[in-house]
Amino acid sequence: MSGTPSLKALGLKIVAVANQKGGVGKTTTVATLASGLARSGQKVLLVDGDPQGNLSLLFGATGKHPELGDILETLGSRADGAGSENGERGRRGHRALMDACIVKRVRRSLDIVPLSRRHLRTELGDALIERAEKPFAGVMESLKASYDWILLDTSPSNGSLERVLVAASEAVVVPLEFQVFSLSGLEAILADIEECGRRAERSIRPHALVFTKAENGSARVDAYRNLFASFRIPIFEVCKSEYVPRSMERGRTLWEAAPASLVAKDYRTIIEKSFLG
Amino acid sequence: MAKRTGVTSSEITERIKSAGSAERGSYNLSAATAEPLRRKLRGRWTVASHEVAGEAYLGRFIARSLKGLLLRQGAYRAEYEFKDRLCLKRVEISGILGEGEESAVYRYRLGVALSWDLAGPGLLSIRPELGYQCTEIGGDAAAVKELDDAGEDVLVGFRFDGSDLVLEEGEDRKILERMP
Repeated sequence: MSGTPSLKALGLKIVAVANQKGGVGKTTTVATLASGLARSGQKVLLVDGDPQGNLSLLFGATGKHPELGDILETLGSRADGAGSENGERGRRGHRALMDACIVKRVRRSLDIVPLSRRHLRTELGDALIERAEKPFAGVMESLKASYDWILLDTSPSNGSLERVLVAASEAVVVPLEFQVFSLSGLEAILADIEECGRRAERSIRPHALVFTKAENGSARVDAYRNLFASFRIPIFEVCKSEYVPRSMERGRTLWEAAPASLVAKDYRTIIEKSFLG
Repeated sequence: MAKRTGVTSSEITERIKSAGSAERGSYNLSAATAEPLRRKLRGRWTVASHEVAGEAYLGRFIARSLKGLLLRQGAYRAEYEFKDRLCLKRVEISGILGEGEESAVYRYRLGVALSWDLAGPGLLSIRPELGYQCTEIGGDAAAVKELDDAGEDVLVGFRFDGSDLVLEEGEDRKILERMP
């Protein structure tokens, strides 16, 4: 049956999972999509962009290791001058720095750039993080040759850090819940994506909406379904399931803990239709 | 839905609708929702009522396909058999065409295999894959036509009304009853 083109068909590899609202399942979604893509043989880089560091924790990538905070700090500091780090030499330096941050093979075909500096925003400040925006996008672009997919997790905020991550992406997947604040939140994130694209001077595609924790038999949910069904952005539902928190608590991905579950089936649908096509 | 800022949900929805790519979006129900619905759809259904813009389908068929010729003892039967992602649709219209010595038994049959899937809340995506339609007058085949893959999905609204299944496509409305 027909549908919208997949990211693969569109040639888009860098995907941010973003929504400024908390508790909508961003980290679960990005972890499950990344590990699911890796399990299907794709080479994936995950970037933990949430200072809470839950993704890094899940994949056991915490500890004394250079991380996203370090690269943003370096890129932001270097970009402070008169653009002395621009040019081929600067780009090579940035890339080497990024390579040092990558924790290899946290799962087969899956690498991660961790983040665990909980006070990153206050330590670095908005101005420095914002200066890292363009060089960071350049580093992400340079990594495309080494990976099939680069997935960026973001934190529930719409500050400078989230803007840097969205501006470095080519497409955005927005996890949501069926509730009243989702509409206004969605409008805000779509405006942010457009603004990031304007600043980056390229288009960033709002590629899919993922309604997590979808429940059956509720007139309220059905009303939202009908409301959202008219959107031109493809929509995917992921059912509410105890397997999700349980697997995360045990440090396992959904594919390791409950690969035959309905919730895994829902994520597989996203991977097959929205990513691989 | 709440209205606290003077902006309604429908206004926000209208604004969001314009976002995204130009092509039609798609709605993928959760497997937890979709699988029970697919199970409920599976089986044989007979058309208990079929109207187009409030007019009985048989009357419209006579007006359009038989150019208003008299069809006495006209009968319309239609059946849908939903299987896993495939649906067999059978239609038969019969009667006595014309009057007196000129009259003849008329029989129209349509058989088509449709691929189908859920396309969102209350929506089926249906595509005719292959089939035939055949018209017989006085026992002789007057016209036989093969139906090929139409190449495009058709979106058909569906809902359950008690134990009945209601299919709606524009002004076309069918009420189906499950066959034993």
